[in-house]
Amino acid sequence: MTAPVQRRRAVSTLTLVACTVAAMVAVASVLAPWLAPHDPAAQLDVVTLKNAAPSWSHPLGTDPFSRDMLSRALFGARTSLTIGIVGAGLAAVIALAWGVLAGFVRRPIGDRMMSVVDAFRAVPRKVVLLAAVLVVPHASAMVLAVLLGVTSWTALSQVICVQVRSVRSRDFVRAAQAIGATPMRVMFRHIGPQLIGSMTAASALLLADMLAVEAGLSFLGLGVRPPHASWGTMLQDGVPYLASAWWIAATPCVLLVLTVLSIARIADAVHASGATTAPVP
Amino acid sequence: MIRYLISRIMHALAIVAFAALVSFALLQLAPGDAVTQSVDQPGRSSAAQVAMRERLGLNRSVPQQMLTYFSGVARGDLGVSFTEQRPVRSVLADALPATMILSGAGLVLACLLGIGIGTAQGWRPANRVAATLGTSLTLLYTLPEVVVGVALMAIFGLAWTVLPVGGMTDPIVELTGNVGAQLVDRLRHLVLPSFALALVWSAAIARQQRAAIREVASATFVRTAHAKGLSASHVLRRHVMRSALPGTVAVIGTMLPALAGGTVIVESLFAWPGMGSLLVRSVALRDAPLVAGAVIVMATVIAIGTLISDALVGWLDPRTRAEVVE
Repeated sequence: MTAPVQRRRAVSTLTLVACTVAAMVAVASVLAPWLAPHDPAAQLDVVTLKNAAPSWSHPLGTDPFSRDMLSRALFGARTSLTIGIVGAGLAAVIALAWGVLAGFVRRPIGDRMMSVVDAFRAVPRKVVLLAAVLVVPHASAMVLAVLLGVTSWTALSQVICVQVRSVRSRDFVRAAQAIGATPMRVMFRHIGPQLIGSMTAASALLLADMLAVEAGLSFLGLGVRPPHASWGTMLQDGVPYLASAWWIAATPCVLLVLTVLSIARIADAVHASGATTAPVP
Repeated sequence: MIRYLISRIMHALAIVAFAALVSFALLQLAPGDAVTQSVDQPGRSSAAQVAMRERLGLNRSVPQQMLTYFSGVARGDLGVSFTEQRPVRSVLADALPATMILSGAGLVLACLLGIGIGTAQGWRPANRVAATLGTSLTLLYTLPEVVVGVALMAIFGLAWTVLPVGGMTDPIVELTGNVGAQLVDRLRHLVLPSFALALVWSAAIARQQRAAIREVASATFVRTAHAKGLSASHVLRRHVMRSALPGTVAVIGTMLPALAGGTVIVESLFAWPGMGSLLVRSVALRDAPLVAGAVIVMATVIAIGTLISDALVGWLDPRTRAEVVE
């Protein structure tokens, strides 16, 4: 009995919407200096433009320091995305290196490497980040991104280690070893390509996670330094005025929700499609 | 079981030791020491500073200081706070109960929501209500705690003023001395922050519970139970849940650090007087001993929580105990 052939749409509508949102945020952050009507840090008129409601001249209103919210949202996207991409990239690289090594070396050593990760994971990442902020005060956005990356690789490295171990015991890897392939060749030619699919999805999820953590840290006043705009600092400025000027906090909230959900959706689609899974050599 | 428990206790001790090491590194690396950072006597002469360093043991070598610090930690002595001018231990002891109440309530709510919705989704895959609730939880899982908290605050605290949005108590209700009213007031203050935590963290529990229920529901022993003529609810309670819960309890155990991280944000947002807001304040004020102490206490609480969840898993599922003995 043959299964009926079904035509499947390559990409679902929801994923298309997610891609559009993500692309718009990316374009807005790249073109921020040209799109923004004002300097994001300029205090335009502290007396009359404090917490102004959205209007034609200020489409998203102004914040407690009379800065234009639209300009801050655009430049904020730039800061938040940069921190997110650098942090997620760094975390993915460390996780890959540690996870592949731990999965590849002999069992007892690999197990030791993973128990180090266990100990790391037991201390909350936000607490470690706060402690790092104490040691490195007045961190620039780049330093912050590095701190985020260095503290966020542990969960992914565990996943990779398990995956490497399972791929290692498969026949094609055994066969490659049997015909005398060097460990390096086995790692890069045979095991590496099997990890691409899960790494792509995991990196996207890491990016969403980085945006969330940056927002939390900057909201606490311990992330991006004022007057620089990021979505987290915009939240910090807006939350005290939630009752009287809700639109200030609403802008970063909406942007964060849309971006994070879009990235998560794209990660899911990549993962489900299996398009990036390498064929067994 | 004893061997399993011993291996888990060693694991918990390793976590606390690791946290103590991180804390000591923090104290060494953070700018300033007890002499330069003390606020009561800003204008000390350099001779007095040297004498004070000598008395506090700050002029000794790093390994010696580390030994002193670790033996202090082992005895529960976490040093003196720079800003509060009293032992770190008593500052933390004041803040710990509030955090335990909030994270406890958040964890219980997350378990109820996660296990409830996950079970409903796994046991009745066709049920639209359960599926919708499950999807909504998954969406919330990726969001930052601060955004969920701000949304709850805006909806239930400001647009529709049904719940208080800040602090742990209403000072006016506290003054009346009416115990019943005080209890209700405290519970009302707890609702929004604990939901902000639970909504974010229940999705992971729901996902695990759903997968576990689906897997068990197709097992032959469940089919046998149905075939014996047992009612569906009896099969679920006595047969399916027994097999599905250990995995979920294990997942809850691994979530404890993230939950503790979440309380840092939620406490600051809702002005909850716990360890989280204390930690944020002491980082802002550069009070290294207080930050280091908070790291150790949080890690200890998490280690104990993980130990409890490990013991529960071992008790619920004999296979985990066997793994260690092998």
